[in-house]
Parts: sequence; structure tokens; C-alpha cells
Amino acid sequence: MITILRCFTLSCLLFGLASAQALPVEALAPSVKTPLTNTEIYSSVVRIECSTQVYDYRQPWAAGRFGGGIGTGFLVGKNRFLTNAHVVSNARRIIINKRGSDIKHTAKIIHIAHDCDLAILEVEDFSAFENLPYLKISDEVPQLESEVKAVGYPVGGNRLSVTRGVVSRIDFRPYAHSQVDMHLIVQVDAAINPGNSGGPVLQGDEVVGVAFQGLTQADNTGYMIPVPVIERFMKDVSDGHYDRYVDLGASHFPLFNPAMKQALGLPQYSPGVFISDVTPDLACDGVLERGDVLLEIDGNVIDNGGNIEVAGEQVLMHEIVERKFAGDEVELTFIRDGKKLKKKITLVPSKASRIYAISYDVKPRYSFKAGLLFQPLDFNLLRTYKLDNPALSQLYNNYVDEGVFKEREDLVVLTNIFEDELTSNLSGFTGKVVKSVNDTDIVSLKQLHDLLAAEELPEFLVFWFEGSKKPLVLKSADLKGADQRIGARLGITQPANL
Amino acid sequence: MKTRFLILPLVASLVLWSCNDQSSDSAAGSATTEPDGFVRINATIQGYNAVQPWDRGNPISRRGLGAVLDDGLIITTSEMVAKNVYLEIESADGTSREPAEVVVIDREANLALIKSTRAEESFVKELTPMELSPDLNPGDTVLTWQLKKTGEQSATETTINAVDIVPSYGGGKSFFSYLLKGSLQSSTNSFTLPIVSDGKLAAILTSYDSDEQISETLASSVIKLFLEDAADGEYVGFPSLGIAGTSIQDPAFRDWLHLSDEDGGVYVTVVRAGSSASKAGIEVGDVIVEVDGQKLDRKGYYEDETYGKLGWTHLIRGQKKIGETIAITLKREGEFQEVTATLGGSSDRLVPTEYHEDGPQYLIKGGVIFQKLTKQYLLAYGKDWASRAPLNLLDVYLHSENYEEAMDEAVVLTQTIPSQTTVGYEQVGRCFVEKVNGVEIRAMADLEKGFEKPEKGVHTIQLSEAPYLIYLNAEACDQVDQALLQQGLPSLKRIHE
Repeated sequence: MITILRCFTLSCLLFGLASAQALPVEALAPSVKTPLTNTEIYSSVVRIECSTQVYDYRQPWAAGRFGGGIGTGFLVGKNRFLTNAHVVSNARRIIINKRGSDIKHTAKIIHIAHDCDLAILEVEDFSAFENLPYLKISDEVPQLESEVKAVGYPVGGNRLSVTRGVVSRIDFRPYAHSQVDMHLIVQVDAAINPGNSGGPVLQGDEVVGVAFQGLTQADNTGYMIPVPVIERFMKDVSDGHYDRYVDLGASHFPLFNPAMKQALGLPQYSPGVFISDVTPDLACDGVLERGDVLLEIDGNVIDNGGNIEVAGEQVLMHEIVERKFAGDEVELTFIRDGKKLKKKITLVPSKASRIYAISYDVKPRYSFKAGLLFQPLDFNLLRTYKLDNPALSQLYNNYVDEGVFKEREDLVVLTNIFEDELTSNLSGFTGKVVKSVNDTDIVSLKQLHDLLAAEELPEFLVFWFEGSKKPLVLKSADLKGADQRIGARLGITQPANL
Repeated sequence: MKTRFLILPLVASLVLWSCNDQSSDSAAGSATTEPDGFVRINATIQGYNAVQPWDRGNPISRRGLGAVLDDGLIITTSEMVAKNVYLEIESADGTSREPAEVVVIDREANLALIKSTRAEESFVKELTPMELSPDLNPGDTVLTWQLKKTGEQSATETTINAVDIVPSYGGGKSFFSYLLKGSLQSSTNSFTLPIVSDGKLAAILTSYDSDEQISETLASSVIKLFLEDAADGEYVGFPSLGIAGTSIQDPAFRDWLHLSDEDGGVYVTVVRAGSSASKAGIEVGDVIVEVDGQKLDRKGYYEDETYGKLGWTHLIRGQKKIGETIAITLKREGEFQEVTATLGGSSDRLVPTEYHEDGPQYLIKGGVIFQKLTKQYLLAYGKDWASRAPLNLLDVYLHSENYEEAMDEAVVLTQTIPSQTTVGYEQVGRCFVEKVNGVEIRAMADLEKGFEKPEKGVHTIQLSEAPYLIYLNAEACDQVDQALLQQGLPSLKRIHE
């Protein structure tokens, strides 16, 4: 049975717990030496009300759908409120309420990290919050079975809620907000409900996590973002902008099979994993090759399943990269052709892999020409149009690993053909990726747009699509006035957003 | 939604009494002679498990009718008898039952000839063989024959509503069909019903849509071609040009293809390697404007003398035989060109719709399962197989033309059985096999050659997807395979040369 991760996003109520910590940078926390009282802790946990505007990928020119939700945040530094990215994604207006006060403080996003679901907000006028303590972020991941409490503004009432529970599990799991990112996660059995999102989970007066997601098909399972992920985020933004996580950029295959070890010239009890793919342009490109056996990462021995041991716990070897930043180095020890090699790689973020993540806050790109709507492929598009033709799926799946992104900045999809005398005979093309137009390979939305917007067009525009066995043909002479005619009917004021 | 006659619930027979009486009354009035050339056919059909190809599927019983022809031969659909493990014929009144065997089967056309194994002593000898009816026209009435439980014949009058070229059940090829309008009753032997006109066999019913009350049939002209082919004992099948095409209606597309308003035609999207079309020089992108002297319209129809508009493939499959030539006029880059194609049969597709009548091909080596890809395998991914099946396998199925040079059969490592040799390979599967011990794998038979020469006691298998390479201990493979046999696997391979 598949359990669906549910992230309480803005369409419904959000849940959150609040915790606080001094920011490494410009942290000017009032010096609080004695432990904070519960009342002091509660006072630093705020209610966040967010109004959103979610773009409609079926009508990318339109304003989108308005909605909103409630979440929690907490004070971690001077005019710095930590919360979840999903609490304030697609925000048009953010309001922060202090505990016990109806005054609405307008806030804005300073940093937002969709890949680890964290964000930092500030209010326009901090004076009302001046006297509140900053919640400190603990240095450690809490122990299994140790007690925690979650503080926030979940459903079921308007006032602050506190729930208690224990740490049930520490794992490496997907983060629902972006759908693709996996990081360390801590499961607790304290009730965490919609609205708790972004709130602190505390041990004593220290924050050990940020409550952020739950499971729809299980009871008493709430998840929080643990200290290492929060710390990494804080450190990443300390230079003023968020640079995202970095990837190793190599896939591995477990080396449990004795015949495989024998064939690779390894002793029977040798550690290591088989490198099956190296992602072009990422850190390992040019260093590792398919067929190498990766033995160590930063001096940590990799077992045959791809795990290393950190502080007595088995974790995936990626945990080493998880805690690093773009530009950091990692040392790899591997075997190639029977020789043991040691090389350093420099980590880089993978821009291309964001094609697999839900995107927020960004107005969808499109180009509209003669009743044809072209949009670049990403997760949002895939989900909106339920695109599943095999040729498209294969390009999408291979986009990063097979280096499709190197040739094609965008996979441009013909998402809709709007009815018109010009288009009434065109069928069987929607949902497909544009391969070429008049023998020019299409590599980006802008390129396609410019090509179609040219003053002088050839007599025919011939579009070939991936996986399609016949072309779509338009006569340039027929296009005169078509954009205005069809555009006016649909209310398209802007022919493109590139 | 088409409903096919498969297994019919017993409840249906209750309803039958009242309806049947009515229909047989009307039938009695309209039939001039009452032919007795029918037998019941009872078949036990047992396919194979697509995922574990050594296993048989659940047996299904099928009951239907066959029409008796000369020499004790009985004609029915291939759907009725394909994959049978037991076949018997039964006299209409149920007094005689005899085992029967398939003489000729054409799964593409969905036709089969069977006969009793008792030869001269068979009850079939007592029955009057049926003749084939001449061609009929829309508006003509025919009788659809069924047998009541009592053994009495029941005939339902139906009208030929239209004629069309209809995709057959088997291979996706289209054949000439009378579409009959009229309500039929469910009956215990409703599978494959003879359609009779004037005492002669006019068609065989292949499917019935109970909502629309439309029956699809295989017309006597198709049966005639089938019988003529089968008569010499060496059945070769229906001819095929080996192309796929699409109609050309969009004005801009037509202009781009330099088609004038008078030109119709079919835009060629696929030309299969080695096909009649490919040998005749037909290329992808050509427009076939005329076939055998008949002009095609924009939707790919020609004007048939008797029937009016009919799909162009009928000019080949309905009127020609393998080895005959056919004149084709193409329009390529605005120029007309005449080509002559010598028609061949429809060779096996790279990914055939059905597996071999003897069962799907496979090989097991050390618990690793290799299979020849068929559509049947892809169908095992369920209702949404067309989007849920592995993309690499789907791509070969959908775009075979891109792979025909690299392979003769699509050989897939489908999965691994947990064993000492496959430790760590639990996730390996659903990828194509490129080489085994250095031997290029173009077909299933190459696997055996490859596995004959392990190096240093290790088999090396090169795959199309991650992990790209796996290794098996040759000695352990043999032990594992022996153990699998002992555990009840009937055989380690089924490979057709």
C-alpha cells in the first residue's frame, strides 16, 4: 500500500510548530541566559496568514486562482521569522499575527528554499516584536524516544496549540513540497495538523525541528525538518542568497553479487558500489566513469549497498553531499581497471534537475501562435495536462541523466490547439514535444517563439513532434490576423511569456 | 463499447426460451431451406502467464458454432480455437461428441479450419456441407444461426446495415465485413456464429455490440480467399504491403504535399523494412494516390463498383494473393510516380501482437528470465499499459522501425528469480539484452549461443539500461537452474528457431 505524503499547502490549512534560534548572521538576539519560560517560547511563535495566487498552466496568460492558508512561524533573530516554504509559496500577501493580538503585521519573504521547504520572513515594522526572545536552534538531532513538543496554530481553534510526543524515527525521506528532494527527516508522534506547518518542535527551550508534513494514511505520524537541514539552510543564506542543494551526480548499483565482484576483480569482502551512470555537467562528470567501483567518500567507507556510517548510524553516502555547499570539495576513492584512484570533485547545483520539482512563485512561460499554445515541460505542466505519451515521458526521464538538457534548454510541448478555421483539421499533436520546425531543432521556448515571430516566414511552417509520424503544417500566408482573432476570443493579452 | 461473446452466464438461458421461440418462428418463415451443416465447437483455451511464461493461465471454456464445408472441414474463427488445449465438436442435438484438431489457423484474419480426428467415422460426414454465398449488399437480410439447448436451430433475421473494412480481432489488420443490424439473444453457444443467406454461408459473426445491436462479421469473400489459400495444404496467408498511413485532410498539409484539389491519397508514415512496399521503393512521406487503378480519396477510401466507398487496404487484402503484383501511383515532392509492388505476406513484427501458438518464448539462466517482447507481455501491465509499461519497451513496440536494424526479435531481461546467482540483482529487469559473453543478441536463439562461452567461469550480460552490466557465476547458474527444475518449473526455455 502506498502512503501518500501530504504537505499542507496553501489551499488548505497549514500546520506548523515554532522554534527559534539566533541567526548566524546579523543575529542580535537579546542575551537570554536563563532557560526561556513556556510563556516566553509561546510569545515568539507567530501565526502566518498567507494569501496566494496560483497560476493556471492551462491558461498561463491569466492571473490564476486566488486562495490562502494559515501556518506558523517563529522568531529566530532580529526581524527574522523561520517558517516552511510551503506556508508562503505563491504568496501575494503575508500577514503575521503575534500571540494574543489581532494586529496584522505585513510581512515579506527574505529567503525561500523550495528544495528543503524552509523560508525566512521579515515584517515591515518589527517594533511590536522587539522584546520577544529568539528561539535557539539546538545543535543536535534528538534521540529516538526522547520527548518533544510541537507549538503552532493548527486547525481546531484560533489560539496557540501545544502537543507532546516522542521521536519515533529518524530517516532519509522525500519532502512533499517539491516532490523530488530527499533529506533527513524526523518522525514524531506528537499531533501535527494542518496549520502546524512552519512551527517549532522543541526540547526544553531549544528548537529541534520545524513541523512540516504528515501522512494521510497513518495515525500519529508527523514529520519535522531536523537541525542539520535547518542549519544548512541558515548557512546557505548567510551570504544573502539561497543556492540550493548540490548533487553528487552519479548513480550507483549495489555490489552484493559475488560473481559481479569477481568479474570486477574485487575481493569477496570488498566494500564499494558499482557506478552505473554519471550525470553530465555535474560534480562527477569527467572524474567517475560507468564501471568504476566507488569505495570511499571523504574518507568514509561505502558499503555494498551505498551506505556509510556516521556517528554510529547507517546513512546513505549522499548524506556527505547533503551537508555541503556549491563549491565545496569531496574526495572520492574508487577503483578503475584494477587501480585504486583518489580524486577530488567540486560540487555544483543541478539546475536541470529542477524540471522534476514542483515550481512555485514563477509565472508560467508560454508562447502562443496561431491557435497553438507552446509551453516548456516541467513537473507542473506534466501534472496539469496529465502528459503521458511515451516519447515525452522518455525525454523527461532522460533529461538529466542522459544529458538531454545539454542540447535542449527546454522541452517545448504543444499543449493545446485552440479551435479556429486554421486549426480545425489538426489532430493528434497536442501533448507532444516539438522536435523541429522547418528542419531547425527546437531547443528552447524562446528560440521557437523567435522563429515563429520572424518578419519573413517561409511559405510553410512544418512542425515535427517527438514520437509522431506525421508533421503539423501551417501556411504562413494563413497566419495573418490569426493571432489577434484567436487571442481576442480567448482573452490573451500577451502572446508570450518567455 | 464492444461486447464480445465470451463465457455467457447461465442465467441467459432462462431468457432464451421466450425470445428464441419468437425468432425461430420468424426464421422458419423466411428460410427457404434449413441447412444442417453446423456443429457445436467446445474448446478449452489456456493461454500462458505473460510474466511467468512457463506457466499456463487459467483455462477458459469456449463454446461456439462451426459451419461444415467439404471434406469434413469445419470453418470457425481463430479466436475460438487459438491456444486450445482441448478441442471437440458436438452434433447439434448433443448426441455425438468427437475430439477435433486445427488444420489451418490465421490469427491475423481470425479464421480457422478444424476437423474431427475420427476422419471417415465422424458424424460430420452425415451433415450437408455448406456452400459459400455470393457477395451480398447492404439492405439484404440474412439469418444468424444459433443452437438452442435442445439442439434445435434458431435463426435470427438481421439486415446488412453497411459494409466496411474492419480491424480483425487478431492482428489489427482490417478485413471486409458485413455489419448486421438486429438484436441477438445470448445463447450457450454464441461464440462464432454462421450467417446464412439462401441456405449458403454468407459470413461468420465475430463480435456483437449489444447496445447498438450491430454484429461484425467476416464476409464470405474473405472466407473464400482463406479457403483457396488453404486448399493446397500450404497456407501462406493474406498479402501485405507493409506500410502504415494516415489520411490527409488538413488544407495546409495538403498544399505542403503538393496535392491538388482532385488528389486524394494516404500519407505514408511507416514503411517496414523488407516489406513489399520497401522493395517497391515506397518511402515514408510519399502519398499513395492510386492503387490498382483505383483513385483514393482524402480519407483513404476508393470507390468500389459494388459497395461504394471502401478502405483502400481492401484492394490488397480483399482482392490479391501473395506473389501477385499491384500497381501503385505515388506523389512524391509534387511528381507522380508509378511503382509495382510484388505482394508478400505480413512478416512477423519486431514486437508481435501475440506470442507463438506454442507459447511465449523464454530462457532462464541462473534465475535470470529472458523473454521475447510481445504485445501480450506489455498488456500484463494492466488497463493503462500504454502509459504504465516500461518506456523503453513501449518505444520498441510503438517505433519498431527504429530498431529493426539492431534486432530481429526484442530480447528482454524481464526479471530475476531470487537465487544464489541473482543476489543483488533484485531490481534488475525490463531492459534489452545487447550482448551475452560478447555475443550480440539479435534474437532469442542468440542467448543460447552466448551462454555457451562463459569467461573464467563468469557469464557477462550487457544490458540497455542501468546497471548496463551484470555477471553470473556459470557453475552456480547450472545448479540454480537444476534446482528450479526440481521445484517444478517445466522447462528452462521455450525458443523457436
